[in-house]
Parts: sequence; C-alpha cells; structure tokens
Amino acid sequence: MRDCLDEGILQSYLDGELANEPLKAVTLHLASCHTCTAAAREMEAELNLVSTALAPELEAAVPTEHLRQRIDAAIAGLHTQRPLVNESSTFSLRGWLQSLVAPFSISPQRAFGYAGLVLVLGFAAILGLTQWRSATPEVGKEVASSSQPAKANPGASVVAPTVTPVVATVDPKPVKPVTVRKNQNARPQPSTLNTQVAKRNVDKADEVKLLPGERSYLQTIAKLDSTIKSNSNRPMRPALQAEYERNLALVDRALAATRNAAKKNPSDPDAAEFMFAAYQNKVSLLNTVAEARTFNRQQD
Amino acid sequence: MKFRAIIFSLVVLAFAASVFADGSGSVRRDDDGDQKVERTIAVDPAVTVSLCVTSGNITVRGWDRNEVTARSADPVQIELRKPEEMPAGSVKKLEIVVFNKAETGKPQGKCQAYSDLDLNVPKGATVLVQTRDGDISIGEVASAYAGTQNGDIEVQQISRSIEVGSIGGSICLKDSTGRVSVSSAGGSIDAANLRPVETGDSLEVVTTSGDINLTNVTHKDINTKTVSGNLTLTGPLAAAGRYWFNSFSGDVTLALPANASFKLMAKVSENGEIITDFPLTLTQVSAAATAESSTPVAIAETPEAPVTPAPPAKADHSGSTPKPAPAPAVKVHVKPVIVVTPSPKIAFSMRRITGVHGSGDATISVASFSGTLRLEQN
Repeated sequence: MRDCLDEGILQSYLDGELANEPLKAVTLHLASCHTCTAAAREMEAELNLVSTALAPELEAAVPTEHLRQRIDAAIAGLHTQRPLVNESSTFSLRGWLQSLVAPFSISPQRAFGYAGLVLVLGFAAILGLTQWRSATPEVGKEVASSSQPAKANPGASVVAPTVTPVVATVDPKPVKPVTVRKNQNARPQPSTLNTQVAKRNVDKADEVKLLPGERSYLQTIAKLDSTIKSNSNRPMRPALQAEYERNLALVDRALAATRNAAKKNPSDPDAAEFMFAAYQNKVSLLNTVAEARTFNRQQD
Repeated sequence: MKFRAIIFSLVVLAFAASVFADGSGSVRRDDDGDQKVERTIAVDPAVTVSLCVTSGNITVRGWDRNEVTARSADPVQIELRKPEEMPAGSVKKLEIVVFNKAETGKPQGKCQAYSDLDLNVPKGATVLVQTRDGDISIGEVASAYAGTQNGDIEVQQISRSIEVGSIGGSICLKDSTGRVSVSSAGGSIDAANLRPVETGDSLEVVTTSGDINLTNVTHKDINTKTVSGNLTLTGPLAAAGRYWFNSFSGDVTLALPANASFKLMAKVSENGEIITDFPLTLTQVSAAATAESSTPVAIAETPEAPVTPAPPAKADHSGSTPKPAPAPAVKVHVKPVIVVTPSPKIAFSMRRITGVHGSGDATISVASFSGTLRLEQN
C-alpha cells in the first residue's frame, strides 16, 4: 500500500484546489485507503464546524467607513488620472518603443541616478529583512497554534476593512479565539466612554483576539452608541444620563471580567457563553437608552 | 312655519347625536372645586387604547362598560381619535391625545402633554401607555403594554399579556395571567401570583442592576437575566417547568417547597457557591475547563449533606401550593452546604453541577459568573 496522503494535499483536495491529475490520484487513493478517508472526513467535519461558527462573521463583512473612503479616493484618483492617460494615449508605435529603450541609454547623470537607486533599494531590502525576522516568531507561534493550515479555513482570510493589513488565524474549534491583527482595543473599560471604545474596536489599530461572533456585537454596540450620541447638542436628560452611566459601568465591568475569562480559557464554552451574555446585556441596555433618546427627541 | 320648526329640530338632534357618537366631552368641577376635563366614547369591548404623555402619572382601570373615559384634573385638552370609518360602539382602535391648554395654539406632537390622566376602559381592552417621567398603574384589562423612563409601573389583574419596561423605575406585577415580559435597567422587578393561560405563555424578566423577585409564579417557561441584581424565586415549581436564571454577579435564591421536584443544572465560577437545603443527588460535578482532562473538582460538604440519592419527593403537578411532603428517610437537620471550591490547576474555575431532587420534574438552569446560588426550603 502506498503512503498516506499528506495533510496539506488532503486539505487542498477538500478545498477544491487540486489540478485534474493530482485530483484523480487523490480520489483513487482515498477509495482504497481507510486511514486517509477517515482523515479526510475528520478534516471535512472540522471545516464545516468552522464555517458554521464563523458564518455570522463572514456574513457581516460590511466595509467600514475608512474602506469606503479609501475606495472613493481611489476611484476619484482614477478619474483624475484618466484624462492624462488619454492624452498620452495618442502615441505611435515608434514613440512607444523609444520610451522603452530610453531608460537604458546610459548617460553620466543616469549612471549616478541608477547607482543611487540601487543603494536605496539595498538599504530597504536589509531593513525589510530585519523587520521580517523580528516579526516571524510571532506569526509562527500563531500558525503553530492552529492545527490546520490557514488556507484551509474558510474563516482564515478575513477581509481587512481598515487601512492596516489583517492576518487572521482560526482554530478548527469555534470557541478558539480568532487572532486578528488589527488596530483594536476590545477590552472594555468601565466608563461612559466605553461605547466609544467599542466603536474604536471596530475601526482602530491595536492587536486583539476576537472570539467568533464578538465582532458583530462590537459593530452593533458601535451603531447603538452612535445613535445615542447623535444629536449631541441635545444632552441626555440628567435622570436618564445618571441611570445610563451607572448601568453601563456595571455592564462594562461584567463584560471585561467575562471577556478576560473567555480569553484565558478559549476551550471553555461556558466562559464564552458568559461573555456573550454580557454583550447581550450591553446591547439590550443601549437599545433601551437609544429608544428613550429617540422618544425624548420627538418631544423636544 | 310648522315644517321649518320640524326641520330645525331634526338638524339640532342630528348634530347632538354626532357629537355624542364621536365622544362626549365635558368640563366640570368636582367637590373640591377643581376643574376636571373628561371625554367619553363608546367602543368595542376588545378595543386597543393608546396614550402617550411626556410627564404625569397615568392610571388605567378596566370596567364593565363598553366605553372609554379619559379624565384629567389639569388644564388640558383631550382628544379621542378613532379611525374615520368606525362608527361609535364598534371602535376597535382609539388614540387618546392630550394637549396642554396653554399651548394649544402651538403645533405639538402627540406625546408632549404634562398631565396626570385617569382612564377607564373595557375589561377586554388592550392598553398601550407611554410616559417619560410619570408613574403608570394599569389594572383589570386584557393586555397591558407600558413604558416609562423614570417612573414606577404597577400592573395587576391582567388577563392575557403584559409587556412593560422602565429604565430607572421599579416594576410591580401581581395577580395576573398570560404571557409576561418585563425589563428594567436599574429598577427592581417584583412579580407575584402570576400564572399562564395558554401552554405557550412564558415569563421573561430582564434587568441590568435591579433585583428580580418572583413569588408564586406558575409559568412553565421562566427566563430571568440580570447583571448585578439578585434573583429570587419563591413558591412551588410548575410541573415540567423550565427555569432559567442568568446572572453575572447577583445571587440567585430559590425558595422552594420541601417536596419540590427538580433537576438542577448550575454553572458557577470564581467565588460562587452553591448552598442548598435540599438533599441533591449529584449526577455531574465538573469543571468545564478541565472536563475533558477529568480533573476532579473539590467538593466540601457538611457532614449532613446527603449527596447520595435522596428519597424522591412527590412532584407538584397541581401548580398550587403544595401540601407538606412526607419526611424524607434521610433527615437533613443542618443546612447541607455544598461548597464548590476551585481547583488550583484551573485558570478559570467555571464549574458545572447537575443534581436532582425528587423525580426531577422541573428543570432549573442557573448560570452565575460570580454570584451565589442558594436553594432554600420554604
């Protein structure tokens, strides 16, 4: 009997990434090898589990305001550049060939210029290599904590909604934390400004571990917070403000404690459950206060 | 000449009839000489009445007449708005709009009045009431929906459904039947003598920091949540009832009859304890974090605590106040305290306890992050 299939090959097979020939070979092998069939099934089950657990995350891939702005800016840039391109597009074949050859015609000035460019590129390469080396152990650690190659995970590649790049690794178990390199600070602080912190969680730059499903809560909280704070020229009524702040502080304290427990015990579903209950409490409170604010505004 | 007089009389009669059909109004003075504004309209027995004011106490009482009466002792103008096509007596939807008389010239929203109001509605009515600062009291109607921000809410003798909420005020429900949903941020919630009408009737109570006290509540589906408030359930359990108590730091106290038959599924952590008067048969004791590694959790018991199977208590199927159960074979004289202590190896000491008392008819699920669970015998 032939050797068993490599885990990576199996993963590629399950992801539908194999070419025709390897695909046939793997299919044939799986038909005759019980061990590999069992491994494939197990992998498939894990994939399904992760897909299910991350469904809300993936469905909620709403671009942020930053991303939208960047796209708008890029489009605007294209629009402004296009006329220039159109103007220069009235070229002839000869002119185009000349433009290709021109940079390689060496003059003393160009020689200095090229030498300078080479130097700059050299320094940049050295600098990049140094930084890459210092960053490598952390990345390796994250990947090592995942029992599955990142590409195999449906939730592994999370679209970065902000300027900073996002690297996400996901464990097959849904309760494992999703490590998102992002400018976020998800740990709520017991203060009235915590709803702002929640918004920053979605938008800003820090490193934080988010559990599956946590992001959607943060987004909801940010929306509710903006609803409450909208029309801020009309302050909240003192009685409502006092009650809101008191209860928000309590909820944030609960959220911080349960989140801490969930982070420390990623394999404990109860810990995550407590955390989500705390999130739900916060959402309920914010909903109530947002409704009250809307009611009060109608009367002002 | 005679013909003209007849025509004139008919016109006057028709005008008077139309006025009374759309709601009679009066301004009168009571015994103390205070002016009262009162409006009345004939309605369908199952009418839906809505009212919304900025400030002021609202009192709603059901009565046996098929009429809605709204009255106020303040200088206000009350309008009873009904759909145009509805003839008097068959009005199924009525909106009570109140204006402050001093501001009648100005354009106003529906909810801008500052006034105390008393309403009388048919007993089969559904009432929707909203105020910002005032208290609300509703009684003897079919359904009550009420919301206030800072005021208290009192609801009693409701026959079909209750849905009320307050941010800072307390809420008191009593002697009612049907589905119940109550929420409060900081105020406490007291519910007493509530029972379901239909099988699907549930009771849901949510607070952030307010305490929750349930007494003699016989719904089969009870769900309570709080962050820091204390949860207390007193009274018999419904047969095959499902009870959920979720708290972050508040204590959960269940004061049950000695013959209560239930299965307890508790999750506690941190410094949370489970203290029980009931001789529970523990079917599972585990730390969730280490359940797979089967690290045992230390259980400290008082000597009298019978963790061995207790004599089955007779289940309370009636839902009424149970008779005292026969004395168990193993008598518990001292509070058998089961204290679950965290294992030092466990970083997050979440523990699960599953125990049965009697035949385990009702299911009680308790999750408390750092509160204490007490099972007390009435």
